[in-house]
Amino acid sequence: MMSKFIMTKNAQPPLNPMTGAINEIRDIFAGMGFGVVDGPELEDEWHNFSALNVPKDHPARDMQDTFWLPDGRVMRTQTSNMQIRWMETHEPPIRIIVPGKVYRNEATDMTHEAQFYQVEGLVIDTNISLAHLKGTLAEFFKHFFKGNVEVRFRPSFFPFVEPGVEVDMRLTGESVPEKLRGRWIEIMGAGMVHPNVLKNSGVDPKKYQGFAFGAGIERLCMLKWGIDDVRYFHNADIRFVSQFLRT
Amino acid sequence: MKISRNWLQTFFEKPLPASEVIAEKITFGAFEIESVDSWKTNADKINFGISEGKSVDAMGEDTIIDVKILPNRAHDCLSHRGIARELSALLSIPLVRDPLLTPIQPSQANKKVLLSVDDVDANPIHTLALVTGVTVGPSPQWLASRLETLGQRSINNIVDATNYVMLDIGQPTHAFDWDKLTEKDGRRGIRVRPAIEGEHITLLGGQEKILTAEVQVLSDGNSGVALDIAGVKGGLIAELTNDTCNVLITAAKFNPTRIRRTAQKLKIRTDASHRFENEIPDILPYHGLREVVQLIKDIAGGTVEEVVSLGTPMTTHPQVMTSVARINAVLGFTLTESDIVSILTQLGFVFAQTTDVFSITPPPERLDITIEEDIIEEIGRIHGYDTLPETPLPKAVHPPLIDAMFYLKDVVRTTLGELGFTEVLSYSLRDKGYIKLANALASDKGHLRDTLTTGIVEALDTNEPRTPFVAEYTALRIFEIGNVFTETGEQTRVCIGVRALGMKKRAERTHEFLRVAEEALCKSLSITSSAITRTPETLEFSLTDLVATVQTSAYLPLPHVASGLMYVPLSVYPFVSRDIAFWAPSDATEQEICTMLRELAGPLLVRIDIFDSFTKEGKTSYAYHLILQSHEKTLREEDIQSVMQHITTEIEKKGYIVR
Repeated sequence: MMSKFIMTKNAQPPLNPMTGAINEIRDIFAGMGFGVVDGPELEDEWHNFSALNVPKDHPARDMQDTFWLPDGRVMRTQTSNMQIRWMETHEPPIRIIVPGKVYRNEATDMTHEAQFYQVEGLVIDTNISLAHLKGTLAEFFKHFFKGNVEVRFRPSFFPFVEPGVEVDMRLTGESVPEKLRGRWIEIMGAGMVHPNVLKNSGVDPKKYQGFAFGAGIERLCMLKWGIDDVRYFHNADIRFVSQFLRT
Repeated sequence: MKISRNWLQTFFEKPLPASEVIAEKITFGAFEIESVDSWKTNADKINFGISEGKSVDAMGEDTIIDVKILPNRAHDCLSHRGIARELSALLSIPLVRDPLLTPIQPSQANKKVLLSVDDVDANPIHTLALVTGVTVGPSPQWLASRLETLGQRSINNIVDATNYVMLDIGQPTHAFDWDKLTEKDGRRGIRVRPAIEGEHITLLGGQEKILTAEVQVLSDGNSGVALDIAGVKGGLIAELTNDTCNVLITAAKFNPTRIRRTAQKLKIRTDASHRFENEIPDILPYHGLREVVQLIKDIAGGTVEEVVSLGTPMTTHPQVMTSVARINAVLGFTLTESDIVSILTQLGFVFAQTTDVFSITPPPERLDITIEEDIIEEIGRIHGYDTLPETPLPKAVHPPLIDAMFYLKDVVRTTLGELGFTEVLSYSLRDKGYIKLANALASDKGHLRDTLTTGIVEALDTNEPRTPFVAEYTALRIFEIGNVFTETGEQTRVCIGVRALGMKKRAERTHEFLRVAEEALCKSLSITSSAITRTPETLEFSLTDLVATVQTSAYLPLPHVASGLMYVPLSVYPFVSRDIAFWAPSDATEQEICTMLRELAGPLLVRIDIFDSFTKEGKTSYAYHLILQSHEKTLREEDIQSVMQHITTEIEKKGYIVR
């Protein structure tokens, strides 16, 4: 018997832009052979810091503002915890992305939120180099932003990579939103996974090497779609979500 | 670290290139540049209260380059000498002065000066110098100016000398008034000891601190009174005054971890503690002491009576080995042996070479270089990443594993999407929850959520008034997929919320929407009714519990956001909803009507939706919801009336009959 109230199968409902972005990212990286995984947001110190070569009582811990629990655990400050967890339980070769929620103890404003999403990438094999990192990111930006892309690296420091780089991107082409066109934009941090991180995860750094990167997904969305206020991603506002129609 | 271009220039013979060029070289070869600002003497631009009426006309103009020094290079680059050394490598120009090249001489002499260290682990290197017959007074023009371009107040010639040397080579030093130290048997000096639990000290500037036993203090070698919180800040007791004639200068290295803990615990952070907590090289205190003493002699007069030191500094750096093959394997370049030789020479690293294997001895102050990969980074950044090729990854050997949780989330989104549900995200940090944070920023966000339902119910409340804006007139249907933190652990859950709109039978209609959704979800996932938590408007269940049931070899097709879409910023002002209905002329198409209405309504129209149309006796009636909103103000009734009246008037001219 048919229900008295009929659910309208209207023109499809909007697609939450975070889901839309993550789906696109998943598909682009799947095309390069990457799997997608995630893990706990509430982490222990080992997986969030020590294993990632950020020792206790070291100024490197100040590079992020952390939410601590009374029992010494933390809300993960980056999705890099999954690098460790995955390497601890899987033999190389490894090709994964980790889109997940992370937490920073920062005041909230138009461009900062205490919780946001990052996408981590990790590739470990016998012959992976920084040039592969550049090639992989160029391919990703080309598909995600749909324009002509240039990528450049600037030397930087993160405890879990060596060499470490900041990645800038420049888009040109008619299809690129005017605000972005032709400008160099800082977009993520990356580098070659530090041998200590490999060792800590049970991977032999004499045999294997690889790269890792981490990007804020809200930031990628704000650049791609011209969103001006990061707080809309997490304040459950249907006026925001409703703008994002599906293909 | 703020760097003065004029100060940097003192390290080089020939004039340095333009500041923009310097900034670019540093940006692409070493560090991020925060800003490049020009500085003029006596300008309003920098207000640092030029002290004691000194004018700084000697150094008319300068450029301040703010370099971002990260923890890995804080031990050598929080100084002009460090940045000069970098620039020397990046520009391939030699340094004309380098204080760190002078051989250091540990000294055991202690006729007048006492020096003892209780805890060598806390204070591995300590040096003291006694300079007698100084005249404390204003600093010379050039010194005051050097400090003032970097926003540092000029105090007096002795204190300024210590600050100068810290900014020049990175070693913090401190000067005590020798005569304020207790004498015994013709000797005075310092004993570095742990503080006594509860010990009290008044610091320079008047601040009082209570100390604990892990804090190290520099104390009077005879009376034992605490003079200084080691590595952090000096005390008032032996403060310099204009009458001071004899000074005891201290330059030391402290255990970085312990300084960091001390500074955090006491909630003091100084330029000194910042450097010590990043670990300074063993040799630096010796250079610092020598430089300060020389500068004091130059500008305040005096005689160096005695220099004492304790500790065994490491004066050479351990060797690091690498090979051309390995460098190219990590970076992805095709560098040759001579390329590497060239770069190492540019860097000023000592090396020995056997065919393609290099045995490298970095300078002793490069504490950041310990493993082969550190050398590889040096090679990469000096060579420059601009020519790094973009190499595609080799084809993956195995297809990637399917992740059960991502698959489950895709199924939920597909199922609910087909039923008209909109996905939202809400805050994980809330005012209530099973787990409390130790250091929440806001009191209403101090707990981790242990349910999604509260967030969804709040979202139903806040979004109900917004439904006309999104042309939803039947029922508000939302869901969230997210993690919660309960007494049994972290779980991924789904929560759906429904609120039927309109006046009639809301509770029953809400219930029906939920029932249909539950049925669809139970069909596409293997959940049982008993696993679902219900309220009149919501359902919540765990996805974590379903992970084991997933059997699939591929993901569902994943929806993307429409290509070329651009977000339109939302106004902070309220919207209004108005309806218009009319009979249309027989030749009018829906498309034309919509376009016409949009044009007539003007920029205040943010949404237009047809909600009814029917044909009667050959005539067609249309009805539209119009949503009006301004980005500048709250619309008044007159503003709205004006728009609606204008539309009515204009379409009636074209033969429409407004109902």
